[in-house]
Amino acid sequence: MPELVVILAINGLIWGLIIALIALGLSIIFGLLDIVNVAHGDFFMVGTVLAWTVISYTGNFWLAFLIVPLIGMLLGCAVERLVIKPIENSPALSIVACFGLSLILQETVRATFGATPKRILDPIGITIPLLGLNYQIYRLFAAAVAIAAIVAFFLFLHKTKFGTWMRAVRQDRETAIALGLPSDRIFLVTFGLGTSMAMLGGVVAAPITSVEFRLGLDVLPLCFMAVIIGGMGNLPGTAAAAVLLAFIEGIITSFTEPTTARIISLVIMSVVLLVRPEGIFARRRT
Amino acid sequence: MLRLENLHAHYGKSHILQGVNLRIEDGEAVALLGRNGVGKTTTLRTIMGLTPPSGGAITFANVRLDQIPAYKIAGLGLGYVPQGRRIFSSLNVFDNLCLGLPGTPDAARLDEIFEHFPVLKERLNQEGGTLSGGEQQMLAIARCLIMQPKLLLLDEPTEGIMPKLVATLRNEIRAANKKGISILLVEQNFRIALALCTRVYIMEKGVISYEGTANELRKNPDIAHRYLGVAIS
Ligand SMILES: Nc1ncnc2c1ncn2[C@@H]1O[C@H](COP(=O)(O)OP(=O)(O)OP(=O)(O)O)[C@@H](O)[C@H]1O
Ligand SMILES: [Mg+2]
Repeated sequence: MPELVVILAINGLIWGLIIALIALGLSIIFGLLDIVNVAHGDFFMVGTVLAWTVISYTGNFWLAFLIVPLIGMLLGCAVERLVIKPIENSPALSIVACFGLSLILQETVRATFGATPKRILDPIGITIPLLGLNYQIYRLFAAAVAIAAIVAFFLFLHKTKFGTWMRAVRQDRETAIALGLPSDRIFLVTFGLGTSMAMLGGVVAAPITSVEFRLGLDVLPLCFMAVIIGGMGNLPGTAAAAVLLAFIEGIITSFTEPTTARIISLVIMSVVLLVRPEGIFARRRT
Repeated sequence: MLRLENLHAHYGKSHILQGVNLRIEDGEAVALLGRNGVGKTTTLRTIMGLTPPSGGAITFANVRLDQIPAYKIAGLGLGYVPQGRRIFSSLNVFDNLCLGLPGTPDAARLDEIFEHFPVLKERLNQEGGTLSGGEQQMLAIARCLIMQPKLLLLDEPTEGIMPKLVATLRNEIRAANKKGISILLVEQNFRIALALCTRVYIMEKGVISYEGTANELRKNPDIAHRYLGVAIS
């Protein structure tokens, strides 16, 4: 039993890193475009489905790591231009639009991919003994990819001119525009990047979850909770909160149902909102 | 170089600018004065495209600013120093300074800025939010000057600044104007406005109610008293 707890805790941690990657995408879209993208989880789901598609057509899972984030970037940019930009000054409409988008993504997947959950075989297929159990190396690989992607995201944000522009727009859109920052292009790339992060998360997660059209519904609440607990607009806080939440849910799941774990997450979020509405990691904004 | 013709602007239903006419010629320094809440900031915001006008025309160097996206306006040679400075508090001073440039500036351009604003050089790696009010104001002006604008719009640059630094700011604004940059200065500090500008507009409830030279205002203190409620000695 204690071994199982440790394993589930490690699984939770790894899952948390993937959620962190997805939640960061959600958070920059919210921070820059003022859009609560309820379709974000569905982009993650589309990522897992595309990973499955890449394997079934090419037989090579690793190709998905290249192709799917690219498709995510293009899909995100297309959605920004066709759906988000035309209603840019109406936050209420944008929620409705994202909700519609969410339905379209889910139903498109159901119509093409089918409604039955599918599984992807462990692409590495090697296990290591861990506490008397065989632990998939792929899970450790997944954690490494998620960490690398998160680090790359922060480097991009802090070390490139475009990243600096994104941070400026996030902090004060009007002044950034008055200084001539190309807000059009910044919004476009931000939405593309955020979508791409969700879909990369989908690829990473595909072999360790079941692939189905409803997958986004499970991930989205966790992402929102991470954004809220980490402090709105606090990106490192969001990442840390995602890892923490999934870790806690992982441990709790070893004793009871996943539903109970989710209830406990919600309780944690409510307590945080009551005690520290600015998030547990609030202090420094980036 | 800049012309506002019968400019109107609304915030929701309230009619803020009610037909503003104003012009600035090449190299001129012009003051826009008026009591609190008459629409001075709104006028500058409308020029920069942040509050789109509901009527009238804004022309800058033969381009209709009201017909192009707001983010393209700075690139035409307009620098905007907003009221309250609005420095990016989580970006460091260097990033704040170079934000509007496509890449990193060449050393000569940076040196020229540091010559005028030496404090910024000492604080390059500090976050913008850690600067004092006066330093932030210098940064807000410097981040425009580094883009080599033709016209600088300044919204109350001396508001809430230590008296010691007010003189520095005044000198730097004057230096920029001497270099050929036109100035549109919104000020509550009447004395500074007169010291820097040759022409003055006074605004009342969304329209320009007085237009004249700085000399006229100096000679007729009753004008300032009547429109602005200030006494000048
Ligand atoms: N975002 C806004 N929404 C609604 N009304 C606004 C908004 N901003 C300003 N106003 C109103 O518009 C009017 C003009 O405001 P503006 O800021 O242009 O005045 P101002 O001349 O710059 O004043 P001050 O000297 O205090 O800076 C004021 O009555 C103000 O209350
Ligand atoms: Mg004002």
